Amino acid sequence: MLELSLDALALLCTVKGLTFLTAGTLVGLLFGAIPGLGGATALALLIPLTFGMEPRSAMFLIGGVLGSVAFGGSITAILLNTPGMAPNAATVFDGYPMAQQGRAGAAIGAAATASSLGGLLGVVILVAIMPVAEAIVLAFGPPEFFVLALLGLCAIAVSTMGHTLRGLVVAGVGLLLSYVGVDAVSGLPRYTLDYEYLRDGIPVIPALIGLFAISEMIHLSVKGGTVAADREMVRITRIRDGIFAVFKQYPTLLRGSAIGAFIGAVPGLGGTVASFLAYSATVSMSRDKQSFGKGNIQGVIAPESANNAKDGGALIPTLAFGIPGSAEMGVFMGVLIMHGMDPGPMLLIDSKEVIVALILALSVACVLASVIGLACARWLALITLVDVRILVPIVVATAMVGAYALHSSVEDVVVALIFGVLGYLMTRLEYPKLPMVIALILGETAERNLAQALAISDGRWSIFIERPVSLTLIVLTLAFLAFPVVVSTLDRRRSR
Amino acid sequence: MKAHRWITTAVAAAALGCAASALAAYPEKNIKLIIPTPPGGGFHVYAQAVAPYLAKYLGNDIKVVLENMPGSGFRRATSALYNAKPDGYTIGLVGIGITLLPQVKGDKLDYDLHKFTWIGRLAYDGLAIGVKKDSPINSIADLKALNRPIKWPHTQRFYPGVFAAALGYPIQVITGYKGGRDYITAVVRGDGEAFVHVPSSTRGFIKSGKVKLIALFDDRYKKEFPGIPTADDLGHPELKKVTTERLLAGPPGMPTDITQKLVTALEKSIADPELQAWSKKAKRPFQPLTPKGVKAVVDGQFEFFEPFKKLID
Repeated sequence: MLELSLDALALLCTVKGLTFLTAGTLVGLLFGAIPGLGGATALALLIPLTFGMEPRSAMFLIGGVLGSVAFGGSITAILLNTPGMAPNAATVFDGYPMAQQGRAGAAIGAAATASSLGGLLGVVILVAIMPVAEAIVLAFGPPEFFVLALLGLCAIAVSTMGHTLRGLVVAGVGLLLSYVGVDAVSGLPRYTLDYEYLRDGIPVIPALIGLFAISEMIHLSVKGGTVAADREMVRITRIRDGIFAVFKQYPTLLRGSAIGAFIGAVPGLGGTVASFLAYSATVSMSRDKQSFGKGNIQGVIAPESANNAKDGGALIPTLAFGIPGSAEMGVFMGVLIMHGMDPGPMLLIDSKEVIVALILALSVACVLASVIGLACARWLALITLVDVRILVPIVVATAMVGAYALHSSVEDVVVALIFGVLGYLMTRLEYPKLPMVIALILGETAERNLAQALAISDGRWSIFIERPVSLTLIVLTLAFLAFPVVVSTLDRRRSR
Repeated sequence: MKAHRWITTAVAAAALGCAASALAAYPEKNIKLIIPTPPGGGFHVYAQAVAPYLAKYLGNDIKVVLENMPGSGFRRATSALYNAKPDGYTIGLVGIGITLLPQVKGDKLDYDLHKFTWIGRLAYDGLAIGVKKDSPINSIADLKALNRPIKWPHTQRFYPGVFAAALGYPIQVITGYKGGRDYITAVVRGDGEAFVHVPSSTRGFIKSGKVKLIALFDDRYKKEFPGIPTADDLGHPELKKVTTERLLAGPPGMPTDITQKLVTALEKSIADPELQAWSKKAKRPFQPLTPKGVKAVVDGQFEFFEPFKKLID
C-alpha cells in the first residue's frame, strides 16, 4: 500500500501530474462557484478528455475537481448570499451576514481553511474505514436510512432559530412538494397533473437555484447599491482572522467533518444534508444560539468542513459496492468504466493503484483549492462592492444557464424562476428557506426507505428497534432533540 | 394561372435541388446524440466511446455531440428523439425494455417504438438470477420449493414478475432501489433473497464471493460461468428474449440515404480496431445488428411481453 502511495505521489509530482491536478482544481472552483453548475456537470464535461489518458492521470484531474468544487460554491454563498451548489446553502446563514458586515475576507479565510481541513479529515476517515467499509455499507439498510432521514427532518426544528412555527410550515410545504412525481414504491404517478416533466418530481437543484440565487438577485435589485454596506470595512478585513478562527474552534471543525463523512456515505443524502446537519448540530450545542445567523464564524466552519469531508464518505459505498453516494460519484463511476474498471466489490482489489491515485489527488486538491481561494480572497471580496445593477444580470444569466445545463431542460429554468419568486416572498415575509430544501430532499428518502423497511419486515415496526444500528440512530435522534432543552434547563438551574 | 404554376414548379425544383445537395453534403454540421441516462451510466459510456468514431466515418470534419436527457424512465429522451426533425442531425440511444413496457400496456405516449428509424445496435445484455453466496437456495427448483413469496429487491416489479411467472415461483418485490448494484447489495445485506440482473455488472460481486448465480439467460456467458443452468436447460428458451438493448436510432421518417450513411458509419466505427481495443479493455462488448435485425428484435420483444401485460405496474 505504501509503495503504491509513493508511486502515485511520484507520478503526481511530475509536470503532467501537477498540470492535470491544477486544471481539475481550477475547473472545480469555477464550476462550484457558478450557481447551478457543480461537480457532476464538471466531471461530465471532462469525461471525453480523460478517454485517452492513463487511468491515474485521469484520477488526478477528477480528484482535482472533487476536492475543490465544494469550496468554490462557498465563495458565492458568502459574498452574494447565493450558494454555488446545494451543499453550500447552509454557509449563507452566517457567511453572508459576515460579508455584509465587511468581514468577507475572514469568512472566506475560515471557509477555505475549514474546507481543506475537512476534506483531509474526510480522506483520513475514508482510509481508516476502508478495511471495514464493506461491513459498514452492509450495516445500513432501509430501516437505518429512514431513521437518518428522520434525524435530518428533526434537525429542521432546531435550525429554525426563533422562527420555529414558520420553519415547520416551510418544511411541511417542502415535504408536500417532495411527494410530487412517480412514487418509487408503487411506480404510480402522484400530483403530476398528467404532466410528463413532473413524473421525476420537483428537481432539487433548480428549486435551490431559484430559492437562493434568483430570489437574492430580486432582493438585491429591489434594494439597490452594493452587497457590503461599508466600503472601508471590506478593505481592512483580515483573512488571517478567518484561518485562525478555524483552529480556535476545532471542536466545530471536527464535529462538522465527522458528520460530513458519515452523511456522505449514505447514498442519496449527500452534501446538502451533511452541511445542514453539521450546522444545526453546531447551533444546538452552542450556548450562544442567538449569535447564529448574524455572522458567527462557527456557522461557516461547520457546514464547510462537512461538505468537503463528505467526499471521503461518499467514496465508501462507491468503492466498496459501486453504489454512488452522490451525483458526482455517479459520473465518476462512468469514468472508471470507460477505463476498463468495474465499479463494485472487485474494484479495490483489481484497481488499487488507481484508487490510491484518486485519494491522493483528492487530498492535495483540497489544500490547493483553499490556497488558490485564499490568494484570491482579497480581490474576490471586492465583488461585494460591485453595483448590483451590474452584478444582478450576470448572476441571473449564469444561474439560468446552470439550471438548464443540468438536464438540458427548459422546464428546469421555469422551476428555478418560480422558486425564485417564492424565495423572494419568503425573504420578505421572513420565512426560512433551507428547511424547504431539506424537506424536499429528505421527504422522498424517508418515504421510500420506510416502505422498503416495512416490506422487508413484513409490516412489523419493531424492525427499527431490533437492528442495533437503527436503534442507536433513534437514540441519537432523541438526544439531538433533547440536548438544547437539557442545556437550557441546566443553565437556568445554575443561574438560580 | 400559368405563371402561377410556373412559379410553383420552379420553387419545387429549387427546393428539391437544395434537398438533394443537402443530402449529398450530409453531414454539414455537428450531430446531436441523445442519451436517456445521466452521465456515467452504461448508455453514456457506450455513446462516449462510439461518438468520435461515428464522426470520423461520417466525414466532413463534424462532431457527434452527446446530450444527456435523463428523466421519466427514459420517456423524456425517447420522446425528444421521436419528435425531433428527421434530418439526420438528431440521433439517439433507445433502451428497449423500459420504454417498451408503457407501450405494451397501452399508455398514452408521444413515441411509438415501431416507427423509429433504426440505425443499428451497439450492444445487448441478457439476464441472470442470483442469490447470496451462503444462501441455501441453489437452483430454481429450490426457489419453487420454498413455497412462499420470495423477497425480491428491484427497481420495479416487472422484470422479476416476468421471470417469476414464467418459471413458476411466488415473489414479493421490494421496489425503490436505485439500480443493479444497489439491489444486489440489498441481497448481500439480507433485505431480500434473490435478484435478477445483467451478468456483466454482477461479475464483481460473483468474483469477490458475495453472490452466486443460479440461472443464466444469456448464452454468451456460459463459458464465464460454467455449470449454471441456462434458459435451455430450464426449458424456457423464450426467457433469452428478455434483454436490455442499446439501440441507435433516428426520428421516424429519416431519409433513406442519410440513414444509410449513418448505418455505414456505425458499422465502420464498431469494426475500427481502436474502438475494438477499448471494448476489450473496458469489457464492454459490441453486438452490432443491422436495422432489419433491430426491427426483428423489437417486434420479438413486443410479442414476448404481450402475455405479461397485466404484470406491469
